[in-house]
Amino acid sequence: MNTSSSRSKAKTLAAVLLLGMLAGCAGGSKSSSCTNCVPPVKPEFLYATALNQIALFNVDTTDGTLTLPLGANPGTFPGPNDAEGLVADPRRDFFSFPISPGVWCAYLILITVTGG
Amino acid sequence: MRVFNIDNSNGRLTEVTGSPFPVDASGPRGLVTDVGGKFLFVADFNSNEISVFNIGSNGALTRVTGSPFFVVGGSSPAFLLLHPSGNFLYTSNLNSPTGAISAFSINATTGALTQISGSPFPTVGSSPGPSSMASDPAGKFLYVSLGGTANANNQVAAFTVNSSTGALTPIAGSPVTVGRDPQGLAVTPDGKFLFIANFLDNTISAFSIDAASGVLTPITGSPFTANNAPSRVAIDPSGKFLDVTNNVGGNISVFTINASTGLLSPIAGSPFGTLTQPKDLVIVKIL
Repeated sequence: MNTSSSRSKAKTLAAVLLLGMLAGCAGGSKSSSCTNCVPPVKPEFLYATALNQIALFNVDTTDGTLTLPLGANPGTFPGPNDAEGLVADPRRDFFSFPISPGVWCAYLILITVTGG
Repeated sequence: MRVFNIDNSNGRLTEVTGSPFPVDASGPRGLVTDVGGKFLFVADFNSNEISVFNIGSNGALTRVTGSPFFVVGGSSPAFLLLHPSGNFLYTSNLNSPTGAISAFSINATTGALTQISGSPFPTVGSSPGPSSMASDPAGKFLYVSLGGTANANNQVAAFTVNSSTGALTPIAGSPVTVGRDPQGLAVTPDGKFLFIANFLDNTISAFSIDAASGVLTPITGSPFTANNAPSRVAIDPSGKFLDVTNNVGGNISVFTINASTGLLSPIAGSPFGTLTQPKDLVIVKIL
């Protein structure tokens, strides 16, 4: 068995996986060979607590318009009946990558459940 | 405490394994994370404590050593504010007779809280009902809304923040008058303007912030008409838009913010959504 070749293949595979995850992290893919590329749109979301639900809207970053995601009843998720607090948190696990110091591409949403 | 993972491509939420997590708090209210996303801080309204959790790589919450931390001299801690430096944590004591703000230093390694000298810091007397807080991006100033319906003060108190100790000092002219039952408030990313939701007036008060002193001056046109019972506010990361939950209106208003004057103008189509009693909101930008 050629140890050097195996190591090389392993490094290549790791690099491909890393690039793939980074592309997904950025919300789109971009070929390194493309020219006149349009940068991928960075998605922005608004979450609001409401009675027994969390509402999700897509944010149009050019004009501020809020739209519901496509699909059947997609914009709400079951939530606590009287959520007082809502916070988005940068996630630190191995699926996340720092884009710049202190800024991460994946997040958690944490919600206070009143009374419990 | 319920914890959800966000799908970065479409924003959909998936509750993480183990959620909801017990927090052993009878009245969890406000919550913030530290700058790095390592710790979660939760104000317990009923027990006069702040609980601190380590946020695991899978979103699981584990109480840190020493938690919960008692709010000495506090009364019904409601909302939390993390200082932009990440060094200090503030909580508003909703039922404090002096509307006091409690301040803590944060151990960056363990998440432990230590109440700082001079804390709690009074706002004004006669049970002003301090609730939401906001700071400028540099962390030089702290603003807190003084609301409530039973004993409404309808004001916003302003403090300078000692960058070394976290201590608060009232700003000249503080508090300033706003609309009835002020609740959520937010400062623009450039630190130039402060917006406050006036729940009972259906308006948004807007102020310019003096960069040197933190003094608030109402901007021309303020207050601005909102929808029914504006509750919480959030500013888009770009600083171009102000989003407001309307608790009775059941929707979300969106305004453009004039970068020079702070003037608010509703965007086309606003308000958006049909919700039941929307309250808190957060904007997440995927980078």
